[in-house]
Amino acid sequence: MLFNSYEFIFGFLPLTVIIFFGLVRFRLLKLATYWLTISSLIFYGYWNPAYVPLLITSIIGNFFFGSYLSTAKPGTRSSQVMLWLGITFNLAILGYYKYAGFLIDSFNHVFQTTFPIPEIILPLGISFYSFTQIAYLVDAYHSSSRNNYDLLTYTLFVVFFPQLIAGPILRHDELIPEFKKLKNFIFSNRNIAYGLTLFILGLAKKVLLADPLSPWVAEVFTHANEVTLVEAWFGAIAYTLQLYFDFSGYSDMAIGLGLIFNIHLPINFNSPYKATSIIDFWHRWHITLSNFLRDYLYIPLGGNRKGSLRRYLNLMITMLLGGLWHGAGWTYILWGSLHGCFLAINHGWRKLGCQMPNAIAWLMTFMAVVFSWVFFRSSNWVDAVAISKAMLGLSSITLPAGMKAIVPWLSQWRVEFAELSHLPSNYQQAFAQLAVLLGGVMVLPNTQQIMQRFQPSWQWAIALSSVTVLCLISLNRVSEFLYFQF
Amino acid sequence: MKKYKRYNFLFLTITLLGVSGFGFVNAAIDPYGIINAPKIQGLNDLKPRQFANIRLFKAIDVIEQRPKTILLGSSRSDWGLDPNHPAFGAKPVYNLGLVGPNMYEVRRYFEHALANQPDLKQVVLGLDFFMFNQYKANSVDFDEKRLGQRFIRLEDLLKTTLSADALNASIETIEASFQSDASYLYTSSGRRFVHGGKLKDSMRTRFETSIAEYLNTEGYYKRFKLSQAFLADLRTLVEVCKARNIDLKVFISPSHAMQWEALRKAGLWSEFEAWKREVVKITPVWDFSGYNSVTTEPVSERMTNFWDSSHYRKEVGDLVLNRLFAHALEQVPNDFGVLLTTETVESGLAQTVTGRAAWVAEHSEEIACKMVSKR
Repeated sequence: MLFNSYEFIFGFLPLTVIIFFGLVRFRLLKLATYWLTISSLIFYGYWNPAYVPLLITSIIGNFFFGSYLSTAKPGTRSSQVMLWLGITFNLAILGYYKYAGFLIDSFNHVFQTTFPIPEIILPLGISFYSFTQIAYLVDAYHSSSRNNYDLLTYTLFVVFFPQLIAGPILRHDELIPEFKKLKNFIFSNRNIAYGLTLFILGLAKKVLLADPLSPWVAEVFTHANEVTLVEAWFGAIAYTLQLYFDFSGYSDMAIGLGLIFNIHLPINFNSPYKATSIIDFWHRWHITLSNFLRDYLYIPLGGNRKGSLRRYLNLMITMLLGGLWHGAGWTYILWGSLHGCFLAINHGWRKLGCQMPNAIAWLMTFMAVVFSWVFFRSSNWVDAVAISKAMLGLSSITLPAGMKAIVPWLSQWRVEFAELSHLPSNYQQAFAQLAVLLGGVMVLPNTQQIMQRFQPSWQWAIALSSVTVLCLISLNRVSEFLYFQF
Repeated sequence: MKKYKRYNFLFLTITLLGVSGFGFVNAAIDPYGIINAPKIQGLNDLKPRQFANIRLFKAIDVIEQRPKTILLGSSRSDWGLDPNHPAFGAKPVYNLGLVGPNMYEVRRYFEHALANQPDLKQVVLGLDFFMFNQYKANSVDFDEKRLGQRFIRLEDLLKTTLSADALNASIETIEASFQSDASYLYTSSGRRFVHGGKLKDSMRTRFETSIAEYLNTEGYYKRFKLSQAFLADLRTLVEVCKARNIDLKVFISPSHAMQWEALRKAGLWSEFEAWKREVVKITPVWDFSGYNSVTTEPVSERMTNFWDSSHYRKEVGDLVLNRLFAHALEQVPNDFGVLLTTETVESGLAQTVTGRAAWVAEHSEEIACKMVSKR
């Protein structure tokens, strides 16, 4: 089930909240926890019930490994073996469901073989719940404090519906203690107010800002080989904005939903497009993933403790695998390696100790990010290269015909003017829209900063209600037949 | 904590009021004509938006009206066949013609009608060549989940009241009703008609654009492959009618001779004939296409038989129904409608060839000038 659907907003959410706090009111805390767990599984299974057993298998398997590891002595041979078995268990599931097709396809390409590619539908959220649980196993192995969770609490930690499908990626020692605090079961009007407000702000980001950009982006990226300079930039910038508003909006919704149940989920975005370096960017973009990659990949690989060459190599490996985590495809690997290079350059530059003016630093960072998103979004690397080339002006430079009246002298420098068919028909308005959004992500406060100014006043209530109504009427579309003479 | 409680209460109340107010306005205007809201002249009596949502509102009309006689086919049926024709015995009658459907869509709407009216008595089915084109994909507003339902789906109800699209449609409805300005509208029994009886474009333009669109649009005459699956859909429909004792009358739509010239120009004449041969293997069919006294009406601004090259007027639709039901046959020109069966199909096809030869001899200049297809 998606947060931005009627089923969720009018059905699932109110029902889950009312029953949960109803049970709490009658002091049936255990039952309330059961309810939250079961409703989370319903939330997950609504999309495709066939993958619920897989999720449950993964949870029970990890619970078993985790229980063993948290009672065994760290560092012993047997607990080492168990840790690796546990990690392999997760990677095997992830590998089969997410990467098998990709690996076979790549193998076929390289060796000109024709092994059949199995048709496996990617289970929702599999990357998220696999990573969450690998982290749990590693922690259980190292644990100084003995975490002995019961199966119910552990299951709820994994399936708690606000974070199950798209993060933020949680650590067990952040979340499980919250489930156990007695005061977190008490219905709190304050948390409901903050939670609802956050949820609506996130919903608005997704529905009102990100979704309308999607057809513009699709038009450019499906015609990667035809687009010219202006169209390519338009598509790349539109996607840069779409992805941010979509993902950060979804994260805001998740955090808001957590708060309704008195659970504090970690923030996942902190104005990433205000970053003035790539290092800074990764402290602001998908923060819980960055932390995960740092703690469970980069540092175990040796981090920066084995000399600068190893450090760059570790960065590269981390980002490459981070890319692959996003999706089984070469474009994601390329995207990851681009960021690996950027980070290595960034660290190298820092060593030199030179300061760059902020504006230039921002611009370089933002451009690097935009180009990397082109690889992230393209369906294959050929398309990505074609769009990048167009953005760099390596194919012909063509401006919209309407601009000829404004800058006719440009035609002296091989600049052509033509109707650009991959731009929206009202492209001036679309440009203005992108410019406003771009300005917004550069200077406006982000959701957390807005929430710091939140007051439970009637003005806030009216403003938020209006946004809610706008969102709700934008969730639905009537698909119409385009008629002419038939 | 009290202020948070008040805030939550305010927020939920205003939102609920806002959403329900929004939905109520759209439900009252009822731009898609599916809620049966009262029609107030000058406010919501003209609903031009229905036309773009024909698969939506007709599916729901069938649920509400449970017709015993249905008229099926493409936009020619939709526009030309009158549910109030005196020949129909089993009432209510509903015109379930769709715009630009393939045979699968038609079959599914037939099954939808049957699900809602197990006592279906009469089916009239108008066939068009393109409905059997393998490249004719289902329309974007065709929604499988809607069909076979006995109630309006919640999703459809929400979409048509709580969406920005519905608001736009409501505004359009109010504007059209207030200014009494619309072109295509629908009667309550599903027949399309032209508001005020006059279209804005000239007849000449309508002929030219229509022909150009047929020639250049995917799914029509741009390329054609006779689909065995769509023939099977027709067969299924025929067999279900037979099994359930439903009287079925099938015909091939009359279009203007110019339309057949376009089809010939697209290089599809032999496919057209092959299609007819396949159809008669499944069911006898009344063929109104070709070159007869109705379809060879000279093209002029004051035509009485046609709206454009492919769409016949209700008056012609009446003649078609007269022929099918052997009703007031004295009004029907003798050469209008030939019954094709496996025995008569070849002579019927030959008759069309001679009919064309005679017509071309007289109109060669006119044809040449009209056939300038625009891109």
